Amino acid sequence: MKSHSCDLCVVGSGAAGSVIAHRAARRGRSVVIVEQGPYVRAAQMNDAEIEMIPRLYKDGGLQMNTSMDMFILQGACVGGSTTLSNMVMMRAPGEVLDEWRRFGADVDEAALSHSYQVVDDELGTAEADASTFSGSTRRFVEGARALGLSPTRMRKALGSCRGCGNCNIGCSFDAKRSALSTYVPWAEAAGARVLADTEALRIELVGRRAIEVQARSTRTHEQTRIAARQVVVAAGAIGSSALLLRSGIRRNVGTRVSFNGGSMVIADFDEPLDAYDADQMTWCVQGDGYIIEPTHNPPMSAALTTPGWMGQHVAMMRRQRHLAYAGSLVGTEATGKVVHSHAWGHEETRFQASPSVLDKVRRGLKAAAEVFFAAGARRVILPTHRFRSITSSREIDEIDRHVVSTKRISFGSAHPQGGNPWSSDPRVGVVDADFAVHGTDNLFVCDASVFPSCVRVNPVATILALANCAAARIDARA
Amino acid sequence: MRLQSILLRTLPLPPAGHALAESEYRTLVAIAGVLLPGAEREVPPEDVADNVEAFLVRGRSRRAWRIRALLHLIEWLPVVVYGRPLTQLTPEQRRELVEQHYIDGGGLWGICAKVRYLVLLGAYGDARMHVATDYVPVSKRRRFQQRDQNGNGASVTP
Repeated sequence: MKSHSCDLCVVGSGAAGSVIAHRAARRGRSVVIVEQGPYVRAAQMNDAEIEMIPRLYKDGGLQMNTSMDMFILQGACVGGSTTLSNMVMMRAPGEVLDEWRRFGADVDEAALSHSYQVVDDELGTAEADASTFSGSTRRFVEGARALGLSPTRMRKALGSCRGCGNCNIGCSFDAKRSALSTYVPWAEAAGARVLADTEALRIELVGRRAIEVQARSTRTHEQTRIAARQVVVAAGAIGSSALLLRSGIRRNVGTRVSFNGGSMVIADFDEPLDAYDADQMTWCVQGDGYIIEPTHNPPMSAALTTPGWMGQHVAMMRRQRHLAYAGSLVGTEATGKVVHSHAWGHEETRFQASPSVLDKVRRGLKAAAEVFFAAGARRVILPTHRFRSITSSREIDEIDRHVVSTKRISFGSAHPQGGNPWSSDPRVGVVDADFAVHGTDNLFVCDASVFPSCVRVNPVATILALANCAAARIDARA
Repeated sequence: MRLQSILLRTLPLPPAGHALAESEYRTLVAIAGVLLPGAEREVPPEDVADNVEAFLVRGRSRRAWRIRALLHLIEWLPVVVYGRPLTQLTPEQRRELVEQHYIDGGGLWGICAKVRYLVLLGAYGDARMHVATDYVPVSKRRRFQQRDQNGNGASVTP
């Protein structure tokens, strides 16, 4: 049994945990970061998806909802999901912040806006560099403009990115400004200690006070106790709720889970685009209830998102040079739930996409297909399990006919949110204005799990900014 | 005693260092052979199964038992149609099974269909597929051959 003691124990080293740990360490507090996943530095990364995905993703990349019709992708490594993300720095829309306020969240818009700016400055957020645009994205932008749409160049925190296209398996160039290459090492330089490969099992509470985090090495199974004056749970949506549930904190925990859920269409062009050799994601089109994000993946991930069976799938993969992918990203309602399954011994995520979500997904897919046809695509392949393609925009209504259930299409999310909703009202929320768990004095939660409803854009900037706000509030209660 | 523990005790034991028992491995090879017609030139079904197994070992997923349970379902569910398990069907019967039951299948057949993802990751995660997909890995792209001024680069070749 190992033991540590510190002023602040942070569970999770992703976007929120790393910022909070850095701020506390910078102020001279002793900080221990507990991270379930491994510490994989840039020099240890390579371009083999089949090696990197099981090392860096939660549950080896196999996480799904209970009905098994949605993949849920999250990081489980030092840096959390930022290590795998595209670092698209979008700010939460005003109407989302209004929703959160109506739910009882203490959203100080001026402070949040300042925090967005602080993290943008620290990470060097800038418009995606034109030299990193892929051939498929260029065609997408041409098509969107031809239709009179207004595509937007994404703002990203990619540092000196050269556009290798491997953002989702870690940045071996150490260019991407993920928590792995910024806030975590900054926190360590200020004295914070990272316990990687260490799973927080439960938080021990005495009355209103958290006194220690009980953890276990995922490699040796050796037990570790971390006594702390304050504990911050930042294990991500799903993981943070699961830890609270295991610690006996149940009121409202696991509720209001939402996702940016998505599905993709694929356009087939006559000429080669070689989309893999560029930044995966640089432009988007905002629609009514959806965002279209053209993207591309290396072959293994591309194979998993490419429809068709047997010969049709093999034939599609042999046309990879000519293919352009675009996702329709839709914010879901907060109807999901994280539960701890005693039968199976781990957490489960219950979620079913509503007809309204599917309608928005369809509209996004139709808009993406229109854009690709306007850009000269010879056919567009639908995301249905059975291979289906259309050859002109006159056939676009086929999407309405065939995209009717998440059980019949490829559907997934890399942006789970909610589970520990932020509200001053303890009847509905888990954390209060200071991100403290209701009914406790020194136990806090800050990450995407506190979002009371879906943020509906790529969430990393909002998680970082909220963590910057939370760090000051947590410090004030030290 | 958890359901998971009970289930794991009923499943055959994988050899040391492996994620799959031998029977589960054979089922995976049998279905991989059907799902990747033509691709076996690059990655034979046995190698697809090896890659999947290595993936599961590396991932240390607490949900890996589901994959094992899935493979048993895939092996035995064909009994209701053909009276024989998957590995005893002819390649033609396996193809027919996928076409008629997996692709649009609901219920247990729909769950069986998830094996497609395993087979695809085992096949396309293999570097031998790069030529067939016209993919050049970062470590072999000319513009990344030279390390940058800070000495950073895609230094590890898979």
